[in-house]
Amino acid sequence: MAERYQMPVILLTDQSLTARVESVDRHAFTKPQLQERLRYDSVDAQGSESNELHAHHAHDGFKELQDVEPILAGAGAVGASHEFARYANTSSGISPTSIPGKGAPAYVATGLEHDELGHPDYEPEDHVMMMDKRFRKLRTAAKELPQPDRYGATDARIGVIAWGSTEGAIQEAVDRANTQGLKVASLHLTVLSPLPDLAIETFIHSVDRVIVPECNYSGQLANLLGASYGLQAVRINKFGGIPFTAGEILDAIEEVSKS
Amino acid sequence: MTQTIINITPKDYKSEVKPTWCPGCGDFGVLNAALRGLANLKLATDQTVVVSGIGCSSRFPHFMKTFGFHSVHGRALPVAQGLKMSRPDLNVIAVGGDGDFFSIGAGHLIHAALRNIDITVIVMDNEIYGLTKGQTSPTSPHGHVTKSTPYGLLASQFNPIATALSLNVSFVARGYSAKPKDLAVLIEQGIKHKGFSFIQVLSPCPTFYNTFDAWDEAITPISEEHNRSNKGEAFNLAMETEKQFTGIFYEEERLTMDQAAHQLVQETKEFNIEQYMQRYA
Repeated sequence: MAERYQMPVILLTDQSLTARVESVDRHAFTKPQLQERLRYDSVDAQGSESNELHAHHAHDGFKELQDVEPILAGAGAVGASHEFARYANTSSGISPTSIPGKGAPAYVATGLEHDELGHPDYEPEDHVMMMDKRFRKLRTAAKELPQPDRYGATDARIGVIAWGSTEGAIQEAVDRANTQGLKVASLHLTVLSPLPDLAIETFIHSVDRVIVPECNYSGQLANLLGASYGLQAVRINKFGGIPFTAGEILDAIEEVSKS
Repeated sequence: MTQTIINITPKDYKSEVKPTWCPGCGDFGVLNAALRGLANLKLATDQTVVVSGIGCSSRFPHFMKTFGFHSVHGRALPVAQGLKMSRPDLNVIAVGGDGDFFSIGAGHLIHAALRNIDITVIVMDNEIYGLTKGQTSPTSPHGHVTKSTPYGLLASQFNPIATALSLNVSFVARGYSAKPKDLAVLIEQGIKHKGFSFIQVLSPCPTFYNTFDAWDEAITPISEEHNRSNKGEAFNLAMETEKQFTGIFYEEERLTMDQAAHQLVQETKEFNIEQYMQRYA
């Protein structure tokens, strides 16, 4: 993800996951497929596909990149004058990069607001264009990133939304509740930013009440869902250091079903 | 030092971006010296990366035609070290000011120096925070009166050269921005040196702390007879306060961390997870 979208990726985990011993299938240790970042030399002046990398992008649904505008004002490093549009304003929000090496067009990466060439530029028009581009990239990512899995009854009245190590306890509680005749489903989020809006809104609207069990004092996920979707969730905050049991989640489901 | 190209002049390394520095800023001299040094070495612009942090002097990469990375305050060295470790074929130069290297990024300087990674560090030292309009920096002299220290600076003055020597830096030099020809030679030698090259450049800020006259008087070239492998003698020169010695204080060749790490990679067989997992079977 970091390579594909050329941005930092923060991996959220919790102590319950990092400090426990668990049997896992050894085949889980396969080498992950690495994705290279989009290179300027994978897009020719007409913006058409010109190598395997680009074909790979197009193949797995990354169609927008085919619309990339011509990005090279001047190639070749020797005598070139920073005319490479490192921050080209593309339709996907992802700009092809150049990696130092023989013949690569040079550019300056900067934390200052900049134009498409990477030169500092604080003009409002430029700043608006670049902010639009950054958030367009997040929308591109939101479309492509893995969607959360819905678990449990299709006609559920009570929903449970969570992330991280609570998944097992929640799914067991959902199974037990459904066996008892309560109609319950859960949605387990794997990406919190950008949030998968459609999947979350569909889930929230498909149930009457939503329970958010989470291992922190203030109910951070419930706050996020409240701010983003106006969701008034039933909060179960546990923060003593012991993870949830399925029984605790089931108790909460039973209580909500009575109210 | 990798690929070289022929018939190249300092102008070929200058970008069309106009420096943001005040008229008379010492950093112009440093930029000219760097352009000259790079041209003398005929470094390829596409295989040279100039990394900086934040500050007036950290705008430097924008004014050059090489690859550049204008990073976060104090973080030029983490970027430069990572770059050199992963791409030892590139020429990596880290530039910035006294605030960036000796205050905000001081922790990085210590560990980068101890690692002896083959990068060249150019510190433009004006003994003041210029970009934020004139507060004291680690290299401001004791008692210095500024807007942030109206009764005079209570802290001691940081000694960059002595610090570099104590950190076992393998190339330690000082230059003066008003002597760009000599400085170009120092930068050239620093880049040529295999290992961590530390060049302190006295580069006055005429707007917030004009030290041109004082330094014109204090600058004293290190004697030709100075033994560059004698660290004790180098310390004596570094501790001198009346005179500001310029030139190479200390120089030694030893294995760099980028070389050592790549040797290690060559010698280490590829890790086999299947084989490793057998211990649990």
